[in-house]
Amino acid sequence: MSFVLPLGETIFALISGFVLGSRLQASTGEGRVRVGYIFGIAGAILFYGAYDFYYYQIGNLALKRTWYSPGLSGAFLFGMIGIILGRELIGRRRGAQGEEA
Amino acid sequence: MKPGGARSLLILILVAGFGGLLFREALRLGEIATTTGLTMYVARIYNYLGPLIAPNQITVVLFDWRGFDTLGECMVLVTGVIVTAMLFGRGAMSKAKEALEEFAGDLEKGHDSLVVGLFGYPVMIAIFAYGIVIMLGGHITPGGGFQGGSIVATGYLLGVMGYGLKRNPLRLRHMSLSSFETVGALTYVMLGMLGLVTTGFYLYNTGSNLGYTEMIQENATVTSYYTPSDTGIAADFNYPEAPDRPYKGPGILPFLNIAVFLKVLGGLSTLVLVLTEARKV
Repeated sequence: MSFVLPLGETIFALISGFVLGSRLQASTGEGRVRVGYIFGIAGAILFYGAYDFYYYQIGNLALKRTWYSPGLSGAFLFGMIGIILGRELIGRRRGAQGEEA
Repeated sequence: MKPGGARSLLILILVAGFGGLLFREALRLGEIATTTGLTMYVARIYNYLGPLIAPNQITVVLFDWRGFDTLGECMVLVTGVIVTAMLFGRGAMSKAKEALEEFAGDLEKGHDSLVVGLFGYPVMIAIFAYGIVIMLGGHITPGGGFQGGSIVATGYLLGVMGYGLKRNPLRLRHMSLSSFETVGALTYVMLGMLGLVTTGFYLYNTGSNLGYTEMIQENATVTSYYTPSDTGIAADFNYPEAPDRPYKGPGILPFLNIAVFLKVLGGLSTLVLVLTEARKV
């Protein structure tokens, strides 16, 4: 077993997003939430477009985007997927039922 | 023994054990310094060894060289939250419903602005994802757990300001926030214990084993003090960032960032919650 990832970033971004998303309830209009999703997905695409930013070198120091191969753009994307999943699977239902957290 | 006596005794033992551990490690720091001459050219050593661990030197300093210090900084935040709750949070902690109703209209209404009402929720979603990015990239790029947690807490603040406390889309109450903080603190302490188990040093950066490192600068030769093995669980945290370069990998640093993220998110959001609810009193 090793923590060399895409797995690491994917898992942590997904979990973090899922936890936050599951606390987002449906109470203030669904239309604007869709706008939020579109913002997020568009942001992830832009991040992917700019990923070369993380490959540069100053002298001996290489700022290489590693630890996990998808990199920070992937973190945004997977975080967003986690938020969407968490909200759609848990948050909306909780909000619709009017439960107090 | 009183009903809470056993619990108090357990807490006392744990606190004494942890204090003893800190004291023992503090003594060993002195031993390391006298054995290796690390007090000389400390800055040079940091600058030489830091990039071998992670590109973001600040993270290396915060979590590797000064992991204890960062643990203490987290406790400072906890203290700040506790003091704020004591001063302003009486209404928040008590369940005085009549006091709540007095300000219920104000709390439910939120901000009057149409723009805030329309864009608050979408922006919150983007802010959360951005905070996660900053947290996960803490050892590579500028950022980290403190910053990521602060950003997500800002999203929470936006929800409270835009929609009011009761209609805030992000439903985080005291219990959830305190869970975040607890899990974050426990993760940090357990990662420190991991270093103690694998190498004998509390908060040792497990997996980022610099091994035998020799540096010659200005006629001074410095070798690394300790060469732990990279076997067992330490191997799981050993993931060199770039195999073609002399990187050793960040070890537990990214995971410490995640722990601090949870702590800061819980602490700052609790502050927002307590200060907002303080109007009840």
